[in-house]
Amino acid sequence: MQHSFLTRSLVLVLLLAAAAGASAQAPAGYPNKPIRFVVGFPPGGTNDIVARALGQKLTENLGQSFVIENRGGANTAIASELFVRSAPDGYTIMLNAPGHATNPALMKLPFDPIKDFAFITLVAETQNLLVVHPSFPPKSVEELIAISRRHPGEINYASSGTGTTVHLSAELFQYMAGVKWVHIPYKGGGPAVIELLAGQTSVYFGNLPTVIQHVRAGKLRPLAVTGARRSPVVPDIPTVAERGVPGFEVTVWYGVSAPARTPRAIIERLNSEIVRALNSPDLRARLTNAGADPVGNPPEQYAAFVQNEIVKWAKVIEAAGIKGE
Amino acid sequence: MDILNNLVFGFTVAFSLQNLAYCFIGVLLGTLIGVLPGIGPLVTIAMLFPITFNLPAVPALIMLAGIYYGAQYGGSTTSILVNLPGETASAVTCLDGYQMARQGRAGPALAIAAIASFFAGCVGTLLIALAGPPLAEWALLFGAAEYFSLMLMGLTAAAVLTHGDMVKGFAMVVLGLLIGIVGTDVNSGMARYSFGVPELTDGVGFTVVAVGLFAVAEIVVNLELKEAREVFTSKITGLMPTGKDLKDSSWPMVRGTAVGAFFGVLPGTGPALSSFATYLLEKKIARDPSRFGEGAIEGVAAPEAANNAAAQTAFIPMLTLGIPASATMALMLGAMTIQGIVPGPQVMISNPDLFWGLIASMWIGNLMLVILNLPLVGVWVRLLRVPYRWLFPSIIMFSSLGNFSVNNSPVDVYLCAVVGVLGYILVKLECEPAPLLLGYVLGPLMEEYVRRALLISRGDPTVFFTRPISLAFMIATLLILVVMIAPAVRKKREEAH
Repeated sequence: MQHSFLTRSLVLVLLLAAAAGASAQAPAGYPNKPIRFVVGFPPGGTNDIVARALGQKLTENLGQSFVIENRGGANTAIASELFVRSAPDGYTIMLNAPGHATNPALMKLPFDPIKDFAFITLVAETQNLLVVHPSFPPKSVEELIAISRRHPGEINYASSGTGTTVHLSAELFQYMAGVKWVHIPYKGGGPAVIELLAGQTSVYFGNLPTVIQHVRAGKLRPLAVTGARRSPVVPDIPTVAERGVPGFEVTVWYGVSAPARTPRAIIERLNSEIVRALNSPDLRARLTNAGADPVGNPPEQYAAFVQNEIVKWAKVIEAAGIKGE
Repeated sequence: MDILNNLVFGFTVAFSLQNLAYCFIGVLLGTLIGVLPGIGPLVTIAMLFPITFNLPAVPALIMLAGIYYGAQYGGSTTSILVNLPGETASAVTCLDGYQMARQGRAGPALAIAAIASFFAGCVGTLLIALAGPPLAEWALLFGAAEYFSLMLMGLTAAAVLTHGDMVKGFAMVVLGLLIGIVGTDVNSGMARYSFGVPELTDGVGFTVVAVGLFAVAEIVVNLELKEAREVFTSKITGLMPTGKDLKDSSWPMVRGTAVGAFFGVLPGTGPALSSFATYLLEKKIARDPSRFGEGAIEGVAAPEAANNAAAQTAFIPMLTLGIPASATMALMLGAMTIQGIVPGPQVMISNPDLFWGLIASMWIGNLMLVILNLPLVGVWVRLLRVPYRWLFPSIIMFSSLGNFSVNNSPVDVYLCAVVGVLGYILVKLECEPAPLLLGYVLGPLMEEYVRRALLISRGDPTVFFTRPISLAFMIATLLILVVMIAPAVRKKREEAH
């Protein structure tokens, strides 16, 4: 009896070890069923479009469907809350957006934005474009700062909602340039742009793809882009940092993560598949057309990037005194 | 005749075999999802979005557009038959359409809905072709102050929505307003009345309120009455509208189209508001307003014309300014940009085949829809013969599915059940659900606009009277008030004498 118990225990231990060993390698046959791809916004926005374009390419390459699941609300927080509770088996992934990094400072979250996630890769980046209504005098960032200093609290800037990168870009700008504007929030970028075009507001830090056509049509005047480098889409427009606000940087980004404790092998597999997809010319073209520059970096770099963003926005939100929920 | 040449060019694009086929697929799908409550064009277009990557831009847009306006056709079907609004915009059609069905006139109601939609669709399409760009520029004149004054006028006119008791009507508007302000405040980003439920930070969805209030409540009420079903099926009088029906609905159709076209061009108001507005208008100018809510055919013709006209003219800001008026439009805009087409003022010049082909296809699509829908009237009416024990669970199931699919959220399904109970209580108290729905839609919008107008004017309320368009709406509001109060005052005086 004793002997057989020992034998059985030994077999069990060996089996467990084998199982553990297997999980360190790519599980055979992964993926062998459809993969849920969670998006923290309702259908229709840039997030949704990026996820659907990427998901379609991954479906083609991996032979398993990537099913987009839109779960809008609270700037991705509602989707994240459900997402972190799903099984870490590689069959649920999520598209992260800037809200992931700004929410921790704006609201109490029922999850940890770093520890509960296994970051896979940064998919694409875009930036905001600082535009003004053509009737508004400033022709450059320097002139905008000068006129803002002469008329504190008189200039209206529009945003697509409290806590969005559009809003926070303007807050960061006011904070770093030492000026004071009045915030006019709208429900989404569409209405904000309409009233900007009509001259109801003067300044707007719009997502590049949503304002570029109005700049090309001469209905809005571009002053600067918010990224660390100039955008390949509009190489002749300077960055805010170049024109008098050194160190200013706002990036709008889209990345993919899995729930924490997803096996390392699966993370690496997904990373290499997404990078491969991002290198295919047709997906590149689609993302570029939608105004996003494809990236595709290693998991560690992406994780460090998100960590940095969280720290940076916590400082801005604190300094600007933006109230959350 | 530039326009004529352009239209002819558009028709040559739209009449290619491929484009006709995609137009047909679009309107067919649109009709189907319109009939299924809750499963709206947004979800469908999102799901089909990746398919458009491998299509040329023109057929892709033609198909997506077909789904969008096709859904406006189909949406009225369940409103009329079972009091279940299939689409946001067809909630108003429930009021008189369902009553017509109860009186055995489901056929004429469905037919008139299709005919009104067709008429409005044609006019809307023509309007895009003739006056798209100038109309879009005109829409830009509407700022926060104008929107507020417009809505104040609407809400004042809404007092006529109530059947009898003014106090009850007023209470319903306020209750709707309270439900409407649940969610994140635009100005401060603070959550209101969310009770710590994260799902409530985005407010209570329109589908949740409309389906709960109309469909769920109606089913509960019906379950109380045994054999009530008979009233429904025993006397179906003709499938097609009579000459009198057509005559009665012709002017409401024209007015509905005008109102719908107006609201469609204004970004952010959309079809739902237009169908309400036109219903109010019809009730106000009717010789016998008491017929409304009791199965007046004008109450079906006008809102159906309005929501379809609005669905068409909503393309104007999207095509000419590159501004999406709704999430569905944003998705279509996305389909364009991902194909490398930059939407905006230059799209007419850079992609004339897309612009004019799409417009021509809309006209063809509307024709397909009316051909598709009129023969279906007989099929739908037969659906009323399905016994309640089968019909009720199916309605509840489809409603729940639809509510769930909007946000993939189970909370929305529970909320709809709660609103259903509220709706039942309201029926028992003899309170009308329509003013509640109107308060729910208009209240939060008015709050947003009044606060924005005052934020921009730094708190100066004269802004509502110094801007000409806003002033015009304010004067109209006053006139409506006078017209409403005057008869009551005169009556009092006569009594005094």
